[in-house]
Amino acid sequence: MGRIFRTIAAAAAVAASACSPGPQAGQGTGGQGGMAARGRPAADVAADVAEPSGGAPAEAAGLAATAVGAPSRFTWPDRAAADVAFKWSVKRRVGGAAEPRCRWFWYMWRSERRVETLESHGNSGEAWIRDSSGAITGYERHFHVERKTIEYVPGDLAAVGTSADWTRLASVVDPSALGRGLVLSGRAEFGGEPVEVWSGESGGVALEVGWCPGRQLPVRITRTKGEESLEMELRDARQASGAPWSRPKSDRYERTDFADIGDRTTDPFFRRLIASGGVLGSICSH
Amino acid sequence: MIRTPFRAAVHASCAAALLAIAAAPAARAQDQPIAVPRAESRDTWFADGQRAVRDARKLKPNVRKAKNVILFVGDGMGISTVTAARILEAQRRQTPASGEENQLSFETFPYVALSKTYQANQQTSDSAPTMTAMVTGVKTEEGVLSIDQSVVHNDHTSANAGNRLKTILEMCEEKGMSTGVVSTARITHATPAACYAHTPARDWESDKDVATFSPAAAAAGFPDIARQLVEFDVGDGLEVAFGGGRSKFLPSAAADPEDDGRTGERQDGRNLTTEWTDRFGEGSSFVFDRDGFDAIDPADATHVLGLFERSHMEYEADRAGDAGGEPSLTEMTEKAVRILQKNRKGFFLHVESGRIDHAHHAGNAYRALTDAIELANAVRKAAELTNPADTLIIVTADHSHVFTIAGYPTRGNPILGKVRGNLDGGVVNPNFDTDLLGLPYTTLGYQNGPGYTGASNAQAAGIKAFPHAPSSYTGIASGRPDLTAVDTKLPGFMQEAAVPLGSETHAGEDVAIYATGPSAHLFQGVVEQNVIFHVMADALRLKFGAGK
Repeated sequence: MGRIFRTIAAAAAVAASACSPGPQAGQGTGGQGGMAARGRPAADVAADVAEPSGGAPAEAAGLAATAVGAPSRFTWPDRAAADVAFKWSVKRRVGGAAEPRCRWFWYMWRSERRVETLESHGNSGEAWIRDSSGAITGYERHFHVERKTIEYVPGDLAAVGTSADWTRLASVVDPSALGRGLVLSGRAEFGGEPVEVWSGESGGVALEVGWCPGRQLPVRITRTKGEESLEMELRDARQASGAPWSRPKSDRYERTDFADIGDRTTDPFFRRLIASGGVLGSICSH
Repeated sequence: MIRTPFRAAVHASCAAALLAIAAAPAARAQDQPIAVPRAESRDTWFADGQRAVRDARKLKPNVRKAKNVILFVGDGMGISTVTAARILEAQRRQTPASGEENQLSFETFPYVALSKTYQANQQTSDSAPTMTAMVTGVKTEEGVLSIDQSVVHNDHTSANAGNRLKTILEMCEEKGMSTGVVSTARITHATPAACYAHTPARDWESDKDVATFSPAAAAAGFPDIARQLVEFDVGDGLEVAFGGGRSKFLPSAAADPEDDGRTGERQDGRNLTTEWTDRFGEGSSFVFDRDGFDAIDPADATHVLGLFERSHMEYEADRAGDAGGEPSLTEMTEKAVRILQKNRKGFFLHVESGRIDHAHHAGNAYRALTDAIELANAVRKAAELTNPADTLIIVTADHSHVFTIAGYPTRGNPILGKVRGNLDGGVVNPNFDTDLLGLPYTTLGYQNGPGYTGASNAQAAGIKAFPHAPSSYTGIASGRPDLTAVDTKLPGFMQEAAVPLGSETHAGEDVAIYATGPSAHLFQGVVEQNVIFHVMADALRLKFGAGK
């Protein structure tokens, strides 16, 4: 089973529970000792969703061309843009309803040295930083309501080692893993850019990724399990300086070293973080 | 990996990658007990016991005046940490030994006592009041640095000359001795800071911090901890300050000298590193990496500020991977001692292994124990460089952690491994011991922390991989994880925790005091933590005025 499928499917299972009120976290994302959802071998997935011979058009693969269609007036920013801002819509649907049960936006800013994300309805975002040599030198979690940043220094990052791969960070998903567990099931176009549609099914979870090789970015990810689906679609992409949405000014937040969290017991925010209860992790309360 | 709306993807996959679940046969081979390094018998046990008594009889209290005092603090180094570290040290040797019989360097010191770590308003304490107790002789309140308990935490108006506590480092400076602080944490962190700074809040490390935590204190110009270090005006100032925390000393407009694209955090525009060298002139220096550290000649150095990371220094387990290179705790200790011992009047040095505590908070025994072993190496080096006749060396902890050594593992069982006990007849169990679910479990564990195996918002259900900082959890739905084929000795493994917390906590039981040198014999029985100061003061023959 390809890792891309495992990780996205596992995560989507968590996200699917995110619309319900109160703290929710990754139940069902793994078994005993497991870090990811169980699923059938890749061969099974391939059998379920066979790749059309010769690279059939999207329609032939059973995918409407609009499935990965760009919004009207969507244009990609100049390829040479050094700092690009992206906006995805995220929708959770239940029972095949046309109207999503839950809807929010997810933002990403991508530049040579920094990748930063933000969830519109949530409290948190994150940023990865690398130096001129390409080495990842920092990771930050932002809590915007509380205006606090938790900073992971290189010593903490060393433990994640190869897992923190810049290509994967900047591309949202691991492009090299698309072919493992998912099959190329169609081709489409998004804002004038060719898009590959990768899909597969495992353990009752169907996954589809619209991947734009030219921009190294997914334009659409859909995960469906039973009556529930979660989809993420690229809605806008701009040069960051011209985007109508702005990057949070997290550099002004109170910064706390990850290693110091345990010493911050007098701070109500960290008291909550330590004791948990989901206050910081809950999302989408409607 | 990035945290998308399909969240948890990242860290779930990280955990699997990090722990590199090994094939079961290989894991079994690695988990075999390690041999006892000598033939043991009733005779060897008996003879060892007799020798210990003979050695104890030979002990003669050293009642001389101490010339030098070195206070080592393993932050969070409770007794279970010392025990596990001693075993791990031996098991990691080129010729591994079972380890239970091993002694860390400071465990050979002749005098040991227990230290009660509660403080004026804490049953289980943090590092600020505990270190205040050790260096001022007075217990105080949570989060307070070297001010007595009449102060109100985080209230600068309650701090005044009347409740300020003079520290042992200040007293030594007044006597014309040389002084230094060394830490693998930020040098402005609570433990080293208690030696030279006085604040109603340990978090006031830079002017930005003061403004964040107390705008009123910032408006009143209350000096932050980094400033207090550089402006320290007792005697001729500290001679040595080695540690992390560079960003607390650099202005926000100044590029960090090591980390590309990063800057300092000071909002007042002051560069305290240049102020240090400007103040102390010839013989003084500021260094920030391995090359700078190596270039320090102790014979010429007078006042040296070494800040080797923007925040805390690397864990010893990760130090080799640091971009700019940084010295080990042992190397910093050696350099500090060589600089300080030029003073014929003697010196006071505080050395902290600050990251034992951090690794425990993170639920990662591998790093906590590796740092504890490095502390033992630093103590060994300090002992080699000094004379026990005139140098009091104390090794202790500020507080403990909820870190346990459990089960009935056989002799030599890998301390980071899973419990494998003995069967009837004393034969080693070919299989791991199991719980009532039929699953193996590790010898080391935490009573609470981020190692809880329910699903969190950051990692999926099952074992967790360091670093893991969850902000929410769901209860364990499927019992314990199956560790049979997991190599629990890997650096990324996080021991299981019974209670889910975002950060593992300190513990309230006593910690040990190990001592050698003048007045070391005064450590007897179970003592209050502030007694440590009074033994140091006795050794140095410090005289106290009416103000104390």
